[in-house]
Amino acid sequence: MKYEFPKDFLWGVATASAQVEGAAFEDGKGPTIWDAFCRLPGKIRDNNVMDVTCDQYHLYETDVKLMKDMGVKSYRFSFSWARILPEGTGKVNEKGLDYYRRLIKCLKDNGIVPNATMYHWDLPYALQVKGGWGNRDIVDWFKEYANILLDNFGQDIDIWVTFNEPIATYVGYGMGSFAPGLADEKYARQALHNLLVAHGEVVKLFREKNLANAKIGIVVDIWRHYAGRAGNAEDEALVLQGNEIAGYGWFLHALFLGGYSEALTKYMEEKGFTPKICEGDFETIAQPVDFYGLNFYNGIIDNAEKMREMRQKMAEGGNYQFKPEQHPEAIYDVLHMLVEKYHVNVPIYVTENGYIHIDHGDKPVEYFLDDPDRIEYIRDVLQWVRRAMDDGIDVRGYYCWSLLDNFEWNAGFTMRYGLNYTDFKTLERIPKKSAGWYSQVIRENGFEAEPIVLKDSVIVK
Amino acid sequence: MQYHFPENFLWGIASCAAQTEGAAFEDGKTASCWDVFCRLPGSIRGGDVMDIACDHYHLYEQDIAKMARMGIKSYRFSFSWPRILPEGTGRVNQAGIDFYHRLIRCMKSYGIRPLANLCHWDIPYALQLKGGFGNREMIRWFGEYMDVLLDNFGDEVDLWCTFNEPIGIFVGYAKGVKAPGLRDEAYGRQALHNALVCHGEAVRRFRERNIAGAKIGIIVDVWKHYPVRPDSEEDRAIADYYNECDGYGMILSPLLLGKYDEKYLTYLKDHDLSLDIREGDMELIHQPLDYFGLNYYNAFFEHADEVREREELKKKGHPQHMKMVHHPEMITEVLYMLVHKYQLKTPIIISESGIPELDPDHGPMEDFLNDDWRIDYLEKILQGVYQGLMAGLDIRGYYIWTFMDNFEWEAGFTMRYGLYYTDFETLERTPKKSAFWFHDVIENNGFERED
Repeated sequence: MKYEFPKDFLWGVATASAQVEGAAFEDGKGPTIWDAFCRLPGKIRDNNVMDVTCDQYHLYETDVKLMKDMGVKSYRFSFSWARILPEGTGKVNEKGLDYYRRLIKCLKDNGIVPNATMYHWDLPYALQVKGGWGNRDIVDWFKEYANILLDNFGQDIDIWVTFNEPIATYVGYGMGSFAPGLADEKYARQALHNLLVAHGEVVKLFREKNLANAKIGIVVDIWRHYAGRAGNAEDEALVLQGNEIAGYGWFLHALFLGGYSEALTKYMEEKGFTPKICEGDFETIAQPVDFYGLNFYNGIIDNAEKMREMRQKMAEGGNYQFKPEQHPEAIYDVLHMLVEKYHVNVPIYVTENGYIHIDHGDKPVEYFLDDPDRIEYIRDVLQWVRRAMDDGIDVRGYYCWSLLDNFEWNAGFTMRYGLNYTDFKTLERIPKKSAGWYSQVIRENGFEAEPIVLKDSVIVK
Repeated sequence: MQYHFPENFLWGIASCAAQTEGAAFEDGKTASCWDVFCRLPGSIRGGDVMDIACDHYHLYEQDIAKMARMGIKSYRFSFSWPRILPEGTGRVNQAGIDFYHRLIRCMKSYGIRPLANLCHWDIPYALQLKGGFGNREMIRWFGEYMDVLLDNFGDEVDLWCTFNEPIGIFVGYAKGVKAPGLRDEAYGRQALHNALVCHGEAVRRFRERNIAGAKIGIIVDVWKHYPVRPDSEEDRAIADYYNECDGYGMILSPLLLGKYDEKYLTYLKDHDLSLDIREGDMELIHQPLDYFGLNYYNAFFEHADEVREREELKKKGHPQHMKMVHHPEMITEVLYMLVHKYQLKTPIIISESGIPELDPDHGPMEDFLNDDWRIDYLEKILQGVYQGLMAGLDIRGYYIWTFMDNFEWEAGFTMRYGLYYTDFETLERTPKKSAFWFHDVIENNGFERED
């Protein structure tokens, strides 16, 4: 059957500054927490750094042409804070502003709508050594930065995102596996609180600017957990942890319902992790936004028993390759949850969705170029999105992660998410089969596919 | 003339963890703020890192044996905080504790007295991420670190030092030249204040233990600036600024007089800066010490016209060619200042004194071994110390910086301060002429010199 999308549906591709730009120490850019983190032994697979990565800083025209050729309608990118303010605050780096001016002009000249994220994890190192998100002053620092962005690009950009995936700051401050590499949960809880306040303050600032047509929102990734065995106490505990304590519920509750959920509040009190909350913080955080950005990759089925088996196999030295099941249907459930549980009554964009291939250097390029599994997964997700739209949920666009293979954070160059293959030596971009397929979907504003048949899903009945 | 030093004068050698140990990511040690700073392009001359440095972590036995042969009476070293507490607080790394046990036992087996320093700039990166010395929590973290050290080494070490050159923190936070590489004057000034409170907190915890015979102090470097024309208001203002607002005065006044100098307070006010000074801070900072450690390298004479020229060149981005004129004799005046202006009543040790030889192009070893000029400089310093002794100052020891060439912070491997030459490829240590000279000085408890 034909899955058709509305006339103005925004088909896009997404990237982030740190993952694609390179030029990490060029033209006045200051170091970021990721530049520092990458340089510590053992933090990044194969100890790779993001100094060059896809070199989009120099090759942006090539990439815009790549998008143009694909027919992409919108490009979601992020500003590098340290490129604009090398020390986080104070002195503005004109060359950094100039780069984004050129990028945006190039996009618009080619009829591509820019969708700009202010913060995609690459905090200036200079602010991190002052405590980063854990220092309440960062609310002012972030406002100063946002103000510069809005003053310089407010007229050119209609879609603004304050933050991409706040949870990454928890992974970086509370678990240590992302930059800056701190494993201090109490500190992380405060950091995330400050980050949410910074979001709210910048939404307020944005309103003061009265920019015609421009909209602002936030992107929260949702990896919803489901009990493998409904009613099983162990599984349900994992679900609570994954959704409410250390997952999307933390942010969505504060952003759309106000304050932290009862479960989270109780947890933080018991552990002594309750952050310092100033008067008015919760109102600030819950500022109305113009849209919500959903990053969706998968749904997770928690089964404590299976988890133990896996750990056991790994402890015994077994070569257990973790290959998660794919649950594209979870996006349908998540979209409903947004509206029904969190009362999200603004338009929704799927701001990221994608599929990885692992590359440990043992496979030829051809292996990555032929990617029917990626096509299948994206198609399935889109079918579920279409079905949710049929139910009346207001989804306005879909961005594929990613335009091209790039630096995948602590996985370095070993996880390829691109519709285009990146040769990290020659910097050549080669379209994968999925690029051609996605291009066709955009051209036809939909696709032909067999209707979805679900077997025994614990997610969607 | 014969320069004869008091009996039991402590002839020593100074070094520190980050500059010599290496093993930066071994046996459970985590990154320090310096390990990260080194890795950021442009921070260190030559782009060098301190991952190996002199590999003292593995080669300490031969180093201590060489010191013993030189006749060294005391070895001043520093603990690496992230080797002891990888996350800065909480979990103790036993392998780190074990290393310092081995090091201390090795020294003592030769009769060398350890002088142990808590903080020689290399704070755990995990704490830097939380704001480092700019975060008041640091006072609690530093206190915890002191407790861990006293629990483990309280009965092995009798000479303790809280900080070496606290100014290094100001330079790192306000000027960006040292780790963590921040250029934020307000933050840097607060960080320095907090560091002094950390010092006080450590002294307080030390006193609580009542360890018989053990002493605690702090080490401050004094690079004193003098007006070239004492009657020139301009020259005096420049010297005052460097001494009181950008130098030792920011540390010595609170530490020894219990208050910040009026000139410093005026500066803060005029520049719209303020310090968050909490109740009890000044008392904590101003606790009595058992000794004071002076690091002396040089003095500066400021002429307003030259300073203007310097600033102009700096603005134009010209490299700074500092004409190094050496003033070893000024150490005596600095010693008098400690006693008169700062009313110091404790014994003094010269905790560092030395002179570098530049090696930007990594020349052959032979060029560095005949260092008569170093011997000449050190003798002049010792003449100054001797003059202080003759004037009745209570000076108990003299430590040379340093045993072997090591990683000289932002200068990387391009500044050689050692009595031993270090080949940073083979890690071989070769004595310079000054090493033999120091051996003789110690053996004779002095030296002879005409002039």
